Amino acid sequence: MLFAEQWVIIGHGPLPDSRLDAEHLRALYLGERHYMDTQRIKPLSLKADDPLRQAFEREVLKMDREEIHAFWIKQHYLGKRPPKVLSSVEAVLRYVEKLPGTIGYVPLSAIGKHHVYVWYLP
Amino acid sequence: MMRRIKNSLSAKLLVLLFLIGFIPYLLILIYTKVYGQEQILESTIARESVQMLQIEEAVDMHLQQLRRGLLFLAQLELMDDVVVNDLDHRILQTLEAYHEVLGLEATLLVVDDQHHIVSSTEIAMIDHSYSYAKELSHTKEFQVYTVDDGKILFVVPLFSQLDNGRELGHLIMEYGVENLHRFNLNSRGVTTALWSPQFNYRVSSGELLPFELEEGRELSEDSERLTLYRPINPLLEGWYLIYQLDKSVVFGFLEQLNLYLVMGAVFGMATIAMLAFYMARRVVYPLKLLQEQTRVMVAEHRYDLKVPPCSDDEVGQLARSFNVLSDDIESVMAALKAESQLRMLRLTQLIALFHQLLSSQNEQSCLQIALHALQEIVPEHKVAFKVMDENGPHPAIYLYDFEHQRELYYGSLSIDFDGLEEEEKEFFLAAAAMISARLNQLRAYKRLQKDDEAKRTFISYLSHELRTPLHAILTQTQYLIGYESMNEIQLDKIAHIENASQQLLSMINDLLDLAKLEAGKYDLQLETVGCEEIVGTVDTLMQMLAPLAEQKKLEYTLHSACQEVQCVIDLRLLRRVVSNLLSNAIKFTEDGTISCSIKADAQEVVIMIRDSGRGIDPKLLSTLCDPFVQYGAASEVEKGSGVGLALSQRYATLFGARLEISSEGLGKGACATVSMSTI
Repeated sequence: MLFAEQWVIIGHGPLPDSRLDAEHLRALYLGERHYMDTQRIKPLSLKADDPLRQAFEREVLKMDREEIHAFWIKQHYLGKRPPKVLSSVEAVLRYVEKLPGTIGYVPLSAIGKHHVYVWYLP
Repeated sequence: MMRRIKNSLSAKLLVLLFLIGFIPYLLILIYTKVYGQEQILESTIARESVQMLQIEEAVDMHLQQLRRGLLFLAQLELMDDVVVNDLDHRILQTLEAYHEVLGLEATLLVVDDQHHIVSSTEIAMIDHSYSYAKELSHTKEFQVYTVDDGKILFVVPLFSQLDNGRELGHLIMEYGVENLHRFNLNSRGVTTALWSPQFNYRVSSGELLPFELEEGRELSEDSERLTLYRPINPLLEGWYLIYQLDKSVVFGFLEQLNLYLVMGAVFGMATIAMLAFYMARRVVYPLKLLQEQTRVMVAEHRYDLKVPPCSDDEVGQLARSFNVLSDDIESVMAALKAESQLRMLRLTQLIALFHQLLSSQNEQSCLQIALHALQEIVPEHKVAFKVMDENGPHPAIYLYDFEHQRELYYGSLSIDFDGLEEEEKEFFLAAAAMISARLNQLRAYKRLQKDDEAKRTFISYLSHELRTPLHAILTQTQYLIGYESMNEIQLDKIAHIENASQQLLSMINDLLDLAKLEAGKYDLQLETVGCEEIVGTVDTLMQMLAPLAEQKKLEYTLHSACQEVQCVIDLRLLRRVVSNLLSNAIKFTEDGTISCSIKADAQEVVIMIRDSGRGIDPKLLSTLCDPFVQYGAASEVEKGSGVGLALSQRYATLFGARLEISSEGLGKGACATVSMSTI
């Protein structure tokens, strides 16, 4: 199933740097970078079977399921862990709303009344 | 009792076996009675302490498992969902999964930093404030609290992993104290419990009786219960592990053991007694048999007795040795008997030999008889009489030389002396001594006969040859006195000659009488005489001798007490005896009294002549009646021949009377008694 909705990357506060490009975002989600300016970034992810996550991985990380799986197995042995997985978009929204440094991908339409900032639009 | 035991080997053995069997039993009984309880108590405490330790370890393991589980949960990333009030119920799902795994009566819940329950396995509690918020505010690490509604709280703080370790809230497990039941033991006589005195929670396997809990001790004891207690794991502060033991169960084994021991002692005593009795009898019976046989052997001199050896042990060997000894004794006794018989035979033969020798009349016949007899006794040896080496081994015969008063070698019994047994040698030596004795006897007898003959010839010759000239002297002097006129001086001289001649004639007559008596030629004239006649005879004699007594101014009396009795005597000899005794009494009494008394009874008539004269030394009384014996001064000796008493003695004996002379000593007078049996 393809995810057809517009999704965005949200953050707890304003974007620390002047911009966030796809490469930077990819590096943050693959654990290659951890900071934006002085802010430590804690990416949040949805469950593996979530269409939004699959769309995000395809579009931003540019890796299919097997590649990502192999990647994190390798990283696991290097002591690195994948982004925290949450079960629902609502949970992502609440986490980002409450915890500084957290970012997550959510459908644009889900933001609603949550007090979050959009950091990236694909 | 003790004496019987001392004297009986069987009893000693019995007592010994009994003691050997019974004493260890008694010691065990005493030991179990005195020290058994203490020992069992100590071992029970030690054993149950180990049991308690195991329970403690189980409790500890359980608590640590819970701790590890809760810490694991607390570290899970999803606990960050507290931030979003467990929006996706991921915490709830985890708690429920863990709750299911635990299988305990417990509630798992998560509260946020505001003490609101975010998630709970008890759904109804969610979104409420947590009632033990006070405990939570102090909890910065894993902590256990006992609270007052039957719960134990296990509390773990939760820290955010996304937000730099910010405290999110707490993970809590409300643990029902009933869960602790699993650690109780269900064992008879034992009650285990986990007890919190502060909250009075008591999780026990049965009824726990009250006991005193003292700080620093781990043991409480009363008459029925023994209670062990100790603080449990530090995580469960204020909780004690209780171990209560029912003494009746603890000591049940001991009491049963004691009962069995007492029963066993009674049965064992009976068994040991029977066994000891049987053993004692078995060991002692052969000994008793042996002792009985020995007793019979000694008492009845039956050395042929044997003891049947009833076994091959030491007693059997003793019995066999006894039988060997018995055989030895029997053979020795037989040998002794044979030797004794031989000795008796030899003695008899010796006596017979001596008897035969006594019948020999001269030396030649004596030797012939001896050699003949010896040849008969030992026909295997050739016996002869030879003059040989005096110092040789052969039995020598010696004769006594009376002339020179020494022994002279006469000859020897020629025999194969070296081939003889020691006893046989002694026999021949004894025979030689007997022959010597008989030969000496024959020689002495011959010599005596010769001497006697010479004496008689001499006295006879002396009497006849002396009396004839003496009669001539007397006749002539009497003629001179009667028919010649002589002056006083001449008459006096002649009278002296006549007197001396009379005395000499009297002495010669006495000697003749003595010679006749000794030659057995005296003509005895026995007649029956009454007591009165004896008195008359004695009175006449006294009157006849009265002038002599008066001359010496002696008191001279006769007392008689006669009965109608008669004696058969020679009155003529009695007169001689009495006159001799009276004249002796007067002769040896210088002053004092001479009393004669005659007494008669049914058995005898006794004439007693007592004087107060010089008396006789008692040592000399035995030889007083020997011929020619006189004791006293020389002047008195001259007046008699010294044969007066000897004659009187022989006269009295001749007519059947008994003459006895007695004196209490010198100067105490003498008493002569003539006793004549009545008819």
